[in-house]
Amino acid sequence: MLSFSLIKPRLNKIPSITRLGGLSSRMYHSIQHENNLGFDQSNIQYKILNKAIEEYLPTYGFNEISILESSRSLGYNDSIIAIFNDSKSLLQFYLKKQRLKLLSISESLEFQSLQTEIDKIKYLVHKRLELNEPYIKHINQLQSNLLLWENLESSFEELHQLSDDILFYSGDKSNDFDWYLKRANLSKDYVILETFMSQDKSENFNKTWALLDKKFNSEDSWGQAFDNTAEFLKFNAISTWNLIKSQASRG
Amino acid sequence: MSSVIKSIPKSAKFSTLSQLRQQVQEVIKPLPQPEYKFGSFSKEQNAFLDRVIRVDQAGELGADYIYAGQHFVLSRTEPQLKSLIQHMWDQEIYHRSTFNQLQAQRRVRPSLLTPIWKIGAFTMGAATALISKEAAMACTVAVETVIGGHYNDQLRILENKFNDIKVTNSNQEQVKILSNELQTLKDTIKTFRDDELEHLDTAIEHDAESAVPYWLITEIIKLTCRVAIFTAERV
Repeated sequence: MLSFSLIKPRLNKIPSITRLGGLSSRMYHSIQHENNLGFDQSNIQYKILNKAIEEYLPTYGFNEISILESSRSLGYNDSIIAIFNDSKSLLQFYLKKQRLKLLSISESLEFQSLQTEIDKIKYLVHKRLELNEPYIKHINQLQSNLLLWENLESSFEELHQLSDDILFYSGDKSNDFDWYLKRANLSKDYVILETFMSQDKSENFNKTWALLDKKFNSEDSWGQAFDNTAEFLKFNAISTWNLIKSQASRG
Repeated sequence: MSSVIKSIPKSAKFSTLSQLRQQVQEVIKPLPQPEYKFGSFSKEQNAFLDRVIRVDQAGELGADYIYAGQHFVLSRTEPQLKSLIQHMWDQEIYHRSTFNQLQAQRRVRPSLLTPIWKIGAFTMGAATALISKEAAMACTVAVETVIGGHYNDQLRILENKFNDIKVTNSNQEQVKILSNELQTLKDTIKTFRDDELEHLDTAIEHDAESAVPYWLITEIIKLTCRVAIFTAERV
């Protein structure tokens, strides 16, 4: 008896560009050796997707038409669309491309002159949201696509990478459980702000920036809350111990 | 750096070390070598370095809390041992802050289970110290044996598996040279391994082997450490 997998024709899956040496494989960040950042710019997928984002995305949105128009304008046959996993590669490419722009933003003098970590985080979140402005009509479409079951894993990974990048550029030095809390909290805030912005009809997104100010003005972050709780429990454990000792010594 | 630490008298106070801790930054920041261009690590090398930093950070955190637990109990029951434990504890604090900085600088994810390592390590230190002073020393023997061996394994891989990285000089010629980044990492691990083995010797000098079920205590703790290392590398 033949098993099912033998009968089924095998489809050759072409790896998406966002999976090829992109940041999804980043683990250890070297300070002397070359880090594999960014995209391979000679890749055909890169050229087509990049042009799609620059020129066709604002009109057509996150779907195959943008890719198709872009590949036509570059002189490729329509059948080239087969090398993309429908619109999924466009979504991931978009997110990764916008995130990578934060690196050069974080090297700017304006950013370097900011004093506190929270100001730096706020600045980068602001810049990242601004990068969405030309595509604001399609952000809801982007978000709903990212929440599809088959995209869920990669979108969470990308969201985590975004928070991780922002915190690293801002000089985060947490090395405990608060590392996770800080990233989770920033991811949550970012999603809230992005959703709010996609619905924001105010001039120049003023309401979004007001919300951003509000979110990042509170001194307490999750990381600090965790540290404070741990400190509080430690203090109480020690004072309980001392209380028991004093009661015991009274006899 | 190790000579600086060793020159500190064993009765030195905690604050002596806080000055040392400020120097850590310079120690782990490798000197730039602008004349060379270092190629990227392979995926496996990257994953290995990632694990090394995570597990060593978690390990030093554990060591820190074990000595904290021992100090908490022994400073009350065996006051003559207080300064000795304090000395070893201070060294672990220094190790831990070095790896903390490496972890933040090299963007390595810390172990997710840090709260558990803290509680577990403190309990282990305090519990063995409560049994007897010899049991506490046996605990030190077991922990330092595993950690020393683990550091040696890491050094062996760093020595053997990192020779294929492309390095070019300013004339585009390939040269065989090790980056300061890897060299300082190796030196750090070597120094720390020596410190750990010194603790091992100290513990044996202080009658670790006369702990009552010596083999039982050491084998259980060794097993626990190995499981913790396996977990901290991955989670």
